Amino acid sequence: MTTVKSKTLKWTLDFTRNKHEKSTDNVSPPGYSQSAGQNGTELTKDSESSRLIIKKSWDLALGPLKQVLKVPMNLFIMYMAGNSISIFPIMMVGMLIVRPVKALFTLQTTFKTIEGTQAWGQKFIFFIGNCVNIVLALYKCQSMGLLPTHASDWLAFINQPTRMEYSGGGFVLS
Amino acid sequence: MVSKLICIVLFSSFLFTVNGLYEDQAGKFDWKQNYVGEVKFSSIDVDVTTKRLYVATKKNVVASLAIDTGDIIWRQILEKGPEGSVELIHPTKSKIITVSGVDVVKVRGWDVKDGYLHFEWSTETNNVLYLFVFNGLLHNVYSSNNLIAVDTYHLETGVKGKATYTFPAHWFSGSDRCALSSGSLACFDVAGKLNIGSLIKSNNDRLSLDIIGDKIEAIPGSPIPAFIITNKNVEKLVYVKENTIHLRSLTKRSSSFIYTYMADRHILLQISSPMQDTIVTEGSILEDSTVIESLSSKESKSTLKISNPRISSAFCGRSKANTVNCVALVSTHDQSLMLLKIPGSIKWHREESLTNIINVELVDLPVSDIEAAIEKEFGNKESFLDHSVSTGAFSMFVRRLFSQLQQLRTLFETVLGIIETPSKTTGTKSNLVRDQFGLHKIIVAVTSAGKIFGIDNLNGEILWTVLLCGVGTFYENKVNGLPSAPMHLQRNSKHLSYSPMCTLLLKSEDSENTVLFTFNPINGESKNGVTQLPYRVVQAVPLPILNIESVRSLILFDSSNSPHLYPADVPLSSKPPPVYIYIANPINGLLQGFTVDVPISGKEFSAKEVWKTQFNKPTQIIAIGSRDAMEHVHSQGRVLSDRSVLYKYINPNMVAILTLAPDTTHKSVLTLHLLDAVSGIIIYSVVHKRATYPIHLVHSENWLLCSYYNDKTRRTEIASYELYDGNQLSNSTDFSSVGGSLIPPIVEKQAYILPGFLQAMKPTITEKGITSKHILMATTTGHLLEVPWAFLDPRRPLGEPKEEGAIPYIPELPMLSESMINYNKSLMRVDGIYTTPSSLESTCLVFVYGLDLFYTRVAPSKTFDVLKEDFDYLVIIIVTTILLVSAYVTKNLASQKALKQAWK
Amino acid sequence: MVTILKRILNTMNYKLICLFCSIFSSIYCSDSSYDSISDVYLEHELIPNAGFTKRSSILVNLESRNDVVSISTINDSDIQLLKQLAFKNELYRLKVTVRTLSGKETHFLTFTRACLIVGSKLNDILTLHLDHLDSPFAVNLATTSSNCNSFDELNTNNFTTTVFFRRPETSPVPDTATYIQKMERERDAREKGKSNNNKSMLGKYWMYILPLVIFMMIAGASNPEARHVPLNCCIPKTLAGCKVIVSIASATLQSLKINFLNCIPSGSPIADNASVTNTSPSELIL
Repeated sequence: MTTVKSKTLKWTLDFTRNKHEKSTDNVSPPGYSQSAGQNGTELTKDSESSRLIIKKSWDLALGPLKQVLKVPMNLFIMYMAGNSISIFPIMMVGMLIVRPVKALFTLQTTFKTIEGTQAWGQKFIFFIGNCVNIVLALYKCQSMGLLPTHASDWLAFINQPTRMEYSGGGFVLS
Repeated sequence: MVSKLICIVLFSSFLFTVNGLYEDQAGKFDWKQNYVGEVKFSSIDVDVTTKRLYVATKKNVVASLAIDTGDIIWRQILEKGPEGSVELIHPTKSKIITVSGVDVVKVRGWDVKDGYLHFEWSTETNNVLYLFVFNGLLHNVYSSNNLIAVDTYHLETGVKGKATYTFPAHWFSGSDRCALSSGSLACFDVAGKLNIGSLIKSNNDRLSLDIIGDKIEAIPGSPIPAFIITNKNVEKLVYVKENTIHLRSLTKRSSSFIYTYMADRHILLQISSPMQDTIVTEGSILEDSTVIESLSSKESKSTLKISNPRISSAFCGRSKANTVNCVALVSTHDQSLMLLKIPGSIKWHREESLTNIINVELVDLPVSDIEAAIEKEFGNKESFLDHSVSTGAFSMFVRRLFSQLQQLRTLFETVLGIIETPSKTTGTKSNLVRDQFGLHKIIVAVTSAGKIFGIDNLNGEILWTVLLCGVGTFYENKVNGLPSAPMHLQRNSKHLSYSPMCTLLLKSEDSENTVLFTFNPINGESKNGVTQLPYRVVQAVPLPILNIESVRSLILFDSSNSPHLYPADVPLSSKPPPVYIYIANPINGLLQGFTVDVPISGKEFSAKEVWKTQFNKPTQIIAIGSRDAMEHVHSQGRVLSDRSVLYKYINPNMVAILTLAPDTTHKSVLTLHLLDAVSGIIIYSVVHKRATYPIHLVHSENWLLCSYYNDKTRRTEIASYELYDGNQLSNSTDFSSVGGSLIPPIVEKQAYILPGFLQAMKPTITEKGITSKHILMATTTGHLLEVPWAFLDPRRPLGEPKEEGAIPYIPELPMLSESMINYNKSLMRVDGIYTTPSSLESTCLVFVYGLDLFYTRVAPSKTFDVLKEDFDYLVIIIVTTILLVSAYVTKNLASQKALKQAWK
Repeated sequence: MVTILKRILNTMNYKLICLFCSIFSSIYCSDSSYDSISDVYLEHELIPNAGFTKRSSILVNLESRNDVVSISTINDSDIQLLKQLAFKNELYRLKVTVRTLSGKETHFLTFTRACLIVGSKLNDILTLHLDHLDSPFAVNLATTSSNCNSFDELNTNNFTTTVFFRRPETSPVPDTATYIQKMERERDAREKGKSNNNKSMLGKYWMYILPLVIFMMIAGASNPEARHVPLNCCIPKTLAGCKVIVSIASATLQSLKINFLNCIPSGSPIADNASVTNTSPSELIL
């Protein structure tokens, strides 16, 4: 089989073959391999496509985590934004919180197309990743002092204690 | 460096919270009334070009008033107290000469036109009996070594005259049995004979007359020696003319005045007031008792409330119709001043007793009838206990229909112009309704002259007056010797079916017992308002709850330490919590606490002494500082820089007691004790050495300010104290003082220097206590300073700031001209400042009283709850309409275009 | 509260010894003035409005002001009366008479709730308030516990009374000295700061420039990968990045301005303005 011979070099076309060695069939167009086509279709259908889906869905699931860890953009922005409270840092922090929360709410629709053995794990990872994002945003809020974690944040809700006794008086009237 | 810069930024941001006034705002929210005080001496200048009155008053004021209107043309204020008390005024052509002072007699000449000081001289005198002016010489009558001596001084230069006349002192029988009139001294001798001798020349000639009398009084301002002798309510007039004594009996109880009409003819003017609203005058020739018809008049005016009028000075002349007519300046016992035209009318009337206000209350006005109907409809049970609000659907529907019908009717009437809109008429009774923001109130002022005033707080107009003549006399404040008038607002205007009720505690005129005077603070009416009690009340404390008639009952504590309830017969709406009453005796330093358990019926209960504190002699209690009963503390703590909370120590029962004790090493020692009035526990005490008067105390929320004059450093200092519970909240729901915590609160303290002298100090107060506190300080220079409390905060840091917004410590307090809320209207002789909240959380109403009355309103945190005055309503309406219209138009256009495009 | 109580209970034993010491010292110590040794005579009311009966008497020294612990026994009938008083939730009133040896007497009255007395097993605290001349003006009664329920468990007949003394504090004075020192320190610092100011711009603001450079590097490095990032993520990120660049640029500009203004001799109004606007750089960003 010629195909077996030229296995090492896939894209090479050997024109130096002998004329007398006549082949019975028409020469295949360059780059065409019958076996590859026959075998390939089966592979794509069965393993390759599912592998791709899994890969894609893993990409999707790991997206939130990658956002945090691989590309330290968010961390850097947050660092640069500083802890002062003004409109832009607040907007950034708001975005940081809202995006993962939105993603969590639309979890079902995001993973609708994805089915498979690893779906649960992917969902879980996606969930964890978004949670990490939220935690990160909350940490930012905390360092900006936006979380009501101190006693002073609840000060306005303390009521004046009721009096058990009343008192009055003054100088003796004379 | 950076922290310092931040501090500067913060500091400057604080400066801007002290909001000054714009020029066009002057007089918009505030008014000031100038007074002179109770008239002591006066003189009428009838010169056509000037037409003025000159008065010297008991407030040590020399002033000139316009004859036609009674307005003050100029006013000079002399020294406070006896050093400045005017003993004599003497008008000359171009000057008004006053003689004032007790041990050092100061003679001053004031320009009649503008009150500028022309000259001044003084001399030291002792044992002065009388001062009088004769022939341009000041005669000083004094007693020395069994002699009555008279020194003379030239009035304008102070050059002492050569002669000193002396008279034997034996016939001078004491100043209560003698009187001096027009240079002649009249005395009763031991035998009851009246001797009259002239002090002008050195002779011992004496005129004597056999007459029995209890009392002798000189007729003020008389040109000839004239005296009124009273003997068992019978008055006789004794006068000296041409060296002979004449006696004339007076028919009626009235006050007399003698005016030189012609060289040998004098007019005797008599004035009396048989009723509070009537003045009766009579005139006759002194010498032959001929009645002058034209001078007999009777004047009645319904708004007038006077007693015991007295002519201070008068001027008479002959009119074209050949009748005698007079102009008399009349001062009354209730310290009002009026110009009377005889025959004729009262030309003007000034209420000078308003310079002696001893108690003030600002009372809310009742709601209008329409609003009352709405309130009734939606009335919540809490504030309208007195209404049995039916909740049936049909009755509510009927009530709604009725109230809306009423609203419709008033709307029609307003549109048709039958009644004027309330904003246009001011001062009328119909207009005395509460406004939306609770800014319109009535100032109820009690004066030491025994007159109660109701003043409109928006324009200073006097709405009503009540004379306490014959009702009772005032209690006396033992600390400063001034009269005191405990007043309690027992029912406010919120209770629709009852009228508001205010009660004043007075002493009976003929016994030691107490009289209660109850009146309606809105119109001054008093129906059966006088209640004679069979005991003497030593303290009155309002109960924390109302009775079933919505009256805040008073616990009256009598001198035998047994409590009574007033009103007595009405049961209470619920069982009140135990009430603890403390009584402080300023003289012997005794402080006692009693507990009173009032049953719901309000009958038969007793008091039990539970604690007693005794300050050692000669310590005196000079002031008690208690928090305003209306005060709310909104924030229970303070946020520190690490965002933890420092909780405030807010003990509603805590009072501050100031004691002053003379000391051998430190001259005087001022001690501030913080006392729990329920348990008698001394929470804290602190000693200020070498501190003397003027002393002022302010107690609000969890802090105290004590201002005093430091004798060592010779300046006014303000010690500031603040109490904290610490970082843990001790108990959150209930506060009980009995058997309470052993842990004393944390006390922060700091002192500040005030570059000036204080006359009064008071914190602002707002309805919910959210607005930051400012301190109002009246200084002797006439300013009313509004100092943010943050400036007096004892936690102002010297180093790193302990909390956000803290201003770094600077020992001297700033006196910024922007913070002087009375701008160029100087307030002299301020006796007190009254602050009360309005319904707007941002705004606090301020009333300053003293020689001048000043009313304004302050917004310590700026008016955050109202739109600015110059807010452009028109622009916002136009913009919104344009936007709405354009939105509709463009919508239609867009739909048309979409349609067209669809057909293409 | 609890810690205070523990402290008090721990010091009880020590105070017992102290009591004797103080009594002995007060009697034998000739240094203290004659009037400072006082007898505190206690009477209490066990039946409401029935009058006071004697409880005990404690000797104190008003000059040394050592805390005194005194134990006194009351009889069983009084204990029963006290329990009744506590059961009815009445007030326990204590009349205190301080009598100096020279015979000067001052009477005080104080009270607490009877159930607190029983609940604290007859452990009470008397606080004697002295004025600036060391003579008493008030006496306060308190108990060691705020327990008001278990008065059946009372098993002692002994009143354990601790006497504390409190003197008034001294008033604050306007702290002018420290303030002047602070002002001087600040002036010195300002002068020193002026001499340090002439560093190069890079030397002073490296902390802002360095992140900028790092950011540029990162941005440059991440650009080729940008294709892989989904588009919807890219926009906000780059936008935010732009903002940061802008902000950093503005901060640098600001610092340049400040640097420029610092060259102006101090005292001129512009320089003063600049120092006011010179807030922390983190605030300038965005």
